[in-house]
Amino acid sequence: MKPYIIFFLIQLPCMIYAQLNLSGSYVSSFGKSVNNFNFFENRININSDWNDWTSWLELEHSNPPELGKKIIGLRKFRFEYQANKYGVKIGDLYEFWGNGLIFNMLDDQSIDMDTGIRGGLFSYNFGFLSAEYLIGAHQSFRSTTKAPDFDERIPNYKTDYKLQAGKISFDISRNRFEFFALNVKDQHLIPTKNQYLRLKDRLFGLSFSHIFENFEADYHYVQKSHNDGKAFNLNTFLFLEDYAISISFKDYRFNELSPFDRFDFVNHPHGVYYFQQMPTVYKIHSSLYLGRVAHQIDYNDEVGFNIGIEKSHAQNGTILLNYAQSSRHNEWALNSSSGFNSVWSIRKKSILSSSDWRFNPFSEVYLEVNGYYDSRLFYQISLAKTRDITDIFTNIYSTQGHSFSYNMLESITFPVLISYQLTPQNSFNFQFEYQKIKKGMIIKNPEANLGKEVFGSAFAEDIQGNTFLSIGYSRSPYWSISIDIDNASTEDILVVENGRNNNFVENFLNPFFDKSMTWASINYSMNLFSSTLISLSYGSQRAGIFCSNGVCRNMQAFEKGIKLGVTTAF
Amino acid sequence: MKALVLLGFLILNPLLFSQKIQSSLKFNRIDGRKISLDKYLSQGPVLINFWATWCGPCKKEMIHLDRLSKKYKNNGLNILSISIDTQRSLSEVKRYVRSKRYNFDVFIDPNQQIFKKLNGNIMPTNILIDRNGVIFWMHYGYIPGDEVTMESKILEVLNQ
Repeated sequence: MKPYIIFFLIQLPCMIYAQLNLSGSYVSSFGKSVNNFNFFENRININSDWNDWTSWLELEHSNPPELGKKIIGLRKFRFEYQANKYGVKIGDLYEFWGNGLIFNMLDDQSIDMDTGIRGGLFSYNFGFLSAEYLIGAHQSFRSTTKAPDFDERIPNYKTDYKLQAGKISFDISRNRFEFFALNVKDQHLIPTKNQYLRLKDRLFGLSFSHIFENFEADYHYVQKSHNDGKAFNLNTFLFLEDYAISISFKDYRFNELSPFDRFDFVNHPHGVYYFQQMPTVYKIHSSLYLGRVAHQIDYNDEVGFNIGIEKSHAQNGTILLNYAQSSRHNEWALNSSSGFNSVWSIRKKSILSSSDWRFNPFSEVYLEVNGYYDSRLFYQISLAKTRDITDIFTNIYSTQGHSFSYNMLESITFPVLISYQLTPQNSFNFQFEYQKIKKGMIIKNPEANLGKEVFGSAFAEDIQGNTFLSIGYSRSPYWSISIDIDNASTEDILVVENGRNNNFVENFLNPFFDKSMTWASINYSMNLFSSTLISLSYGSQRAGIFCSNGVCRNMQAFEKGIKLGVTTAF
Repeated sequence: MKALVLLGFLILNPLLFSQKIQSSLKFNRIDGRKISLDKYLSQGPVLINFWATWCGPCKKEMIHLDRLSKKYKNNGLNILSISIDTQRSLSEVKRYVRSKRYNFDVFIDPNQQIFKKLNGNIMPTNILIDRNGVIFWMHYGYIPGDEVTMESKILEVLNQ
């Protein structure tokens, strides 16, 4: 018998004879474009509770989904019982332990990332001491070019994990201590050998946090038995009058791989686990263009810090200055330039983050001012400068000199967000972003070009200028409409667009914006009832990197199509 | 046939069952400690607001939540602001909230367990609960002016 039929059979008598509370939501999204980026996703969440019992059920009918595998049927379920001192959860679990260094189970549909575990969680509270035990299994699905049948939208690689974990927490005054142990067995396919590896590993960790009036800190540490892998995260906060200052530090060292093997979790399985989604220790942005240049964190090998200073000012506004820097731990060098004999090896090590390109550094300076003026005008004005060495291809020290080649990205971004309330119900919304990007490969060969560095741009010109403009009008609480225009000054030769098929908005704007380099859309959303939102969009969206909460993936373009979304709670 | 049964069930659901929130529901404070919804419901209605540091409309809305909290706190209204920032950006929550000195209580839900339990799907989501724990009003998203509707609903629930 199918699980959801069992669920209803159990629930039906409860509904009739008992005080069962039932609620849920329905989310639907439909998209159709001329470049076959078509999708139709439907999800129903049903939550119910009865005394100390709760249940959660998610049904999905996605054929095909926007991202991920086709699913028709029961997607998630969980039953929970919570008594005064103890609790039990059975089903799909989403927990976080050790600030994500042990577990960070997330279900982010926008990037098709699900790190949830199906199993059981048992917890007991003794007062100042509490204990938890978790047992379950996890299947990770990811898209990778290292396995056959790569597809941007559908994952082509699966890993099976079986795990058991325990946690003990102590609360003493304003301090909290936590100790963790995790035992993992995973079945890992190596496609080139057509062979399954069965791996076992253990993780031990501890967390400590304390809170004072104007100072807070938390420390997290995890050690892996294999490979001597370890991760450390420290966050400190200082609150002084109108100022809030945070300093965070990360040191992740699970599997130090050469530039050639970096991010290859298929052939190098002894690295970080997929369900360990640790703090990025850099600012997560909501800006469209800053999202596109977001740094892809290497959880296996990265060290860095983040400093943020936030000051409140009049009209409930804030000034924020944030600086983030990170790099890998090692400089890797090739022993020879000839392909078959070349071997990468560690040449130099660094304990702290480095800004030298040989360590794949990333840095970002971000300044933001936001607040209200005259209680009608909301403004958010930002400026960001980023530098990221994304890939190193060669790094050779020979008798002829030093030769190298690497990919770099430098950008300056200026996002502005303005809302003006004409009347209490009517408002005008304006979003403008400008970005200047320099992206490409830097090559140096002592025997060519007089030994000088040569830059090969990823764009048709050296620098790409991007301009995003969104003009909207809204009438609360009923509807809002906006027109979005995304324009690039020059072509990105690394992104395959397969030609343009302009929509009428782009054709109309052509005298002002070159239609071959402009993606425009009209968006309308309507609150049908207080808890029902319908959105309709017509137009095109540019291909590129899409990031959600620090995890990025490449999205194909959406060309001349419509999108319809319905979200309702019942 | 199965789809029709399910659809009928969903349509009839609000008529047959009350949308009451489990009063023993526990929220995680930023310091890791838990507080039950009971504690707030015993004082009066509760407005639950889901937000995140990366959500622009949420930040626009917060000034209004702060004003409403100050205005109706003595009438028994509690506003609970729950951040769904994940562990990746959780440290920004403390800094943001402390620099703003908001009047309402702030909680975290990094794995969106409470968010899903209360049927949140869009940021921000606001849920107004009466003193008996029944959902009185729910709203997805924020456009300037929504605070006017929110205040009228708060007044309605306070006058119940």
